[in-house]
Amino acid sequence: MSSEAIHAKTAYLLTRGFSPDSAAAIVPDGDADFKPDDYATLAKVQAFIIKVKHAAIRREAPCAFRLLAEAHMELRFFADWAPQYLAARHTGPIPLEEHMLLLHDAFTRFCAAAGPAQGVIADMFRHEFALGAARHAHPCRLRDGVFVFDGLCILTGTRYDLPAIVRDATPLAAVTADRQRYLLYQHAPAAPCVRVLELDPLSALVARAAGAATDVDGIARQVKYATPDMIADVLDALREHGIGRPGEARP
Amino acid sequence: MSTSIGIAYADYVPRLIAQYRGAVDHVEIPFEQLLRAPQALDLQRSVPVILHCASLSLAGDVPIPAPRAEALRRWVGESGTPWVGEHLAYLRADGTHLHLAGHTGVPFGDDLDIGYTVSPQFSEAVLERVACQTAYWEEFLGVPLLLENGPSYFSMPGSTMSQSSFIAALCARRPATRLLLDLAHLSVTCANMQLDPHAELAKLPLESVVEIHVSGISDEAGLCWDDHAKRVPQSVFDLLDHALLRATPRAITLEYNWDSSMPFGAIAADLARIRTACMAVAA
Repeated sequence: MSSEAIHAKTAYLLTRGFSPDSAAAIVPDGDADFKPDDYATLAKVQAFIIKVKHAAIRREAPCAFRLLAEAHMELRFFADWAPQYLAARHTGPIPLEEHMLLLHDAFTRFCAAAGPAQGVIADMFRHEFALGAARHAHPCRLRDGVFVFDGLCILTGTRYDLPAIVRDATPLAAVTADRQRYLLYQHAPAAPCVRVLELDPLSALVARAAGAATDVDGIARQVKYATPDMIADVLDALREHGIGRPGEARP
Repeated sequence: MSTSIGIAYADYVPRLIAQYRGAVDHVEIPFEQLLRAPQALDLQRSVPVILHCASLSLAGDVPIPAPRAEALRRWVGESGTPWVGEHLAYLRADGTHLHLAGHTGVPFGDDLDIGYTVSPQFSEAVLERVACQTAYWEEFLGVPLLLENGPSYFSMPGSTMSQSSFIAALCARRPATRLLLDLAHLSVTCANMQLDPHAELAKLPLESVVEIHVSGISDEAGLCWDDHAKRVPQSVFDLLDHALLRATPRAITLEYNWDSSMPFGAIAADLARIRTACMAVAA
């Protein structure tokens, strides 16, 4: 087989989604071709190339990618994400915000399928996504527990002490789940970094509802077990942290 | 002449240079980085710059677009680089080869751009192409072009020789050939091809080596992989020690450019380890 032909076949397989069956059907010319087992290796190389192309975006979620590497799941993850990535990348580079949103879904899906032990990896990506979104004030909403309101604050739920894992560079093997936590990410425009606050469950529900509702009664309709007075107290407490709409009055 | 010890460009490198004065003799910047963010060349005020490239597709049959080639020549001039490192690889291919084969399942005909340098078929035809291409680009750019051995994850069908034998034959065919020896790539290739890295190192014409790369490697899914987010393993440092017994590189570059959270202390320690290896040979 000529070098031009086999280079073209390899390039095709590495840049398009493929299955071993479809790959074997592409026989450029001559008799020297990949062996059937080679196609599984080529799929791994395709995943590896996608991993390399994500080197720049690692800075947006360095701890999540570190944990993924420690789990020896990088190639499995990028192989799982390959079809979506190749489709999204088909017309050119993916804008950062869109790329992170797609990755968020990919991490959530992959880690759920990989098993409970990998839950911290998806939560860590969500945490680092939230830090970045708060820092850049991206106006976005996500499924699975990340929520943005007023363009500045994000709330998520997790059973891991995510800030401590980042701070201490905790190895994956040493990470343990404990209680449910509700984290709120706040970036004041003048501050150099994002502040992470842990909220109690009611405050978390109220803060989340406050993103969609326009007044206390509206929030109360969403947080059904709390009275308007309870909600107003929570809103007052949140406002002490600078969270909430300026001038919002108690009922 | 002493060996320059440097680091591949990453976002953190300006801070590293400011914090660890004297630890970095040069910075290697990818040409493609300069296309996206020309300000990376501001580092030139602090340290000399070496230009690296992953665009020429030397082993392929689809040339680099002319405007990109002109941009490369311009950046060679502006950076003052003493040479350009380029992969012994291809990254573009001609889709019509698939069309000619009669496969009609997909629309072929366009160039196929992998966006990553892939080790080519190691054959006489590719050897001749690389020798001709290297001579052409050295004349076009006005500086030497160092050929870098790539990591191999599979054997390209139609190959008639190993990567090391190919490089040795290339240097014999064109004695002016100069090499960029990537020791992590050598280690990865040997692990995946079931070869002894020290034996393969011994086959290489190390007197032609002008620059050496070192970086990390990782194991996953039954293969060994190039990994610039991992620290250099002892096995690669061992290869460096052996290579320096026969090679006198003008530069050694540490490639930690995939993970901006790499601790500075670890980077400084590995730069010092490389410097110690050079001093040991000099002594």
